[in-house]
Amino acid sequence: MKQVLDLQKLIVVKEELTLLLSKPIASYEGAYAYEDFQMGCSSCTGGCTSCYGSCSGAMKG
Amino acid sequence: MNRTEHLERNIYITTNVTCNLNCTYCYEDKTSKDTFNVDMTKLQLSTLLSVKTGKRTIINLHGGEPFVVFPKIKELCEWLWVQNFPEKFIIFVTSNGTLVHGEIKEWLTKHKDKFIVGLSLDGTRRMQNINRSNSFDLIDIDFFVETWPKQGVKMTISPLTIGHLAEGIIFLHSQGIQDIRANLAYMVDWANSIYIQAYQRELQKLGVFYKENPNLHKSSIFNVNFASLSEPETVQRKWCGAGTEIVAHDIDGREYPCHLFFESVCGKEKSEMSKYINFANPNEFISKECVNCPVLAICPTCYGSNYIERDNIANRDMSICKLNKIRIFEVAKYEYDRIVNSNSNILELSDEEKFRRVKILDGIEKILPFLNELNQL
Repeated sequence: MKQVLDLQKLIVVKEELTLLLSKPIASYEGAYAYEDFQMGCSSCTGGCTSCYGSCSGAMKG
Repeated sequence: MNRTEHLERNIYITTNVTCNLNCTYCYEDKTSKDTFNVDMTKLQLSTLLSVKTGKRTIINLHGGEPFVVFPKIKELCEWLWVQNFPEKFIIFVTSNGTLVHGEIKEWLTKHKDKFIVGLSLDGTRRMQNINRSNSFDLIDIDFFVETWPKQGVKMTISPLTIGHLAEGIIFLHSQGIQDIRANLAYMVDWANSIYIQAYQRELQKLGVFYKENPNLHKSSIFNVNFASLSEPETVQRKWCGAGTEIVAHDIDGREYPCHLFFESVCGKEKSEMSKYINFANPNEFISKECVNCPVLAICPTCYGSNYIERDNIANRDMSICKLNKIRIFEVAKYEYDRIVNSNSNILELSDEEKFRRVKILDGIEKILPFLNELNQL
């Protein structure tokens, strides 16, 4: 069966993107990657029903 | 030292367990008519807010439906706001929105900067009415969107509405809701394989929708943190602040890891035993069954529902496991397609976007054999 996700293509695109960064990739670590996901307390992604997003990180009012 | 003194402040106050709705997936025993004692709560909060933590304290007023006891909430809040406590705080309420009219609406408008309401809304009129006691027409959605435009809306998907998941999320986007927190209900039976097919079909519809609307903020159900898979320590990270960042007070004022550990939710004996759980220890919140799963770090769980249903915070609902894998697969496919098969000129991307894409691909690469295996099932 055809692989839906092609490892070789993925690696090529990843390398292209990395080479196009204006600074070494390590200098970006911690700056961007997770900010959209740290919505709730701890590492919550709003994945459960129980807190109803009422934790500090989830609160955006 | 009690738990409150050494944790970040995220304080739950149970105002009441009564509710004017009877949602299909509700886990709460709503038989008690007790409501919180305002004077006792003032005293408790006064003690807590007299100590400056360096971080803002969140006071979560939690029901039932809290606006059933609006006069008490009003009394408490208006008292808190004139006390000039050293600790900065904000008040948050989760509500079904059906009682937010007239006087309550006026009061909320006046205090919207320090009193925030998170609305629960389960999708279209039909979905909301199926899950939440025919309540769609009782909610002024525009009021919530206009008053707290960035605040997330909670959309719970039940077995009765999973077949309309995409329609529900698209509808909420059309209402101007920016942050749609959608997830499958816990503590309901997802074992029937028809849900897997329906879930996959609906996620695929969502993928098409988000591809056509790339500037929309994707609902949490279509937002998987693949980047975290390239960070080894995330495997041992807990999914929520239960027992660490959260302190939940029940109506009697006693402290619990979160409100799911209240007597009214998990029963007296379990509630009592929960004080012996060490929520900071990964060995206590990761089961042997899941510890070697390649997608553990991106597979959400609710420790409270695990404890209620399976007596242990680590023991996940394995019928949801299949659904979670489908979600990860469909979102990975979407992200791969968006990034790898993109026709856009990558030279025009910002450094931030390039880095984000590298991290997402890093994560997908780590689980790629697993994803391709899933595709063949």
